[in-house]
Amino acid sequence: MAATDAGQAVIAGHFGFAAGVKASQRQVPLWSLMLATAWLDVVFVPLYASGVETIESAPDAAPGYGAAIIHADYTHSLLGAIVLSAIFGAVFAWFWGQRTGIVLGLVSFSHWVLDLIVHRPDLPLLPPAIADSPRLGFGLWRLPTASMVIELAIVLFGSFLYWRAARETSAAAGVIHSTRADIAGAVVVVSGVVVLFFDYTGLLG
Amino acid sequence: MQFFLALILFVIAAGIVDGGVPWPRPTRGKP
Repeated sequence: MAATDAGQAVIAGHFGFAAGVKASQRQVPLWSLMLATAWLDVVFVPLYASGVETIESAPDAAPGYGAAIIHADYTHSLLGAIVLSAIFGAVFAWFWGQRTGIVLGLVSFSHWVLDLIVHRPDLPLLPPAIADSPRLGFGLWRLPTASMVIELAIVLFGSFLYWRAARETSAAAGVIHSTRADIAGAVVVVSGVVVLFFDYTGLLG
Repeated sequence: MQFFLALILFVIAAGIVDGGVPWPRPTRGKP
């Protein structure tokens, strides 16, 4: 879920997960993995702007990181996440082949799984327009510091896997100096940590 | 929304530097 006026949410964790996937699925461009992991939120933005999906602060939490309760019944319902991820994967499979399409579809769906861990129970199985269904969410955000630490661990571990894979790939290609791999790894980890910092502190609103 | 835009910029930057690493290319073709 993207950050909004009502509170901050998971971004860097998705980002770190995508970097880690790159280490094992090296044919998939990093930008497409990043886009995949944020895809549900990308679709959420216009629906939020138009008032179809909304977000509010939880009454049991101070406004800020981990305080959000979302009403994203289309983009963040289980069915909606499956459909959006399938569409995303199918589009990229058309251009880059079935394997890459499946990877990107699964990474897109990983967004819902990670959100499931941290969200309070606000993720429906089905959009209410189709049928009433239970709302899921394990609520790790009730412990914002623990959530942040876990998110940071995902960023650091995913970035490390990415950096190690980049160095291995460079060496295998006969590149003597892995400067570009080091720069890429540094940008990935710094980007993730900076995003998490602003998310946790709310300095960007 | 400002935060979301910042995220997009970071994603683009990561994508650019990733292009400097000789990764294998995805297999082109229809599913």
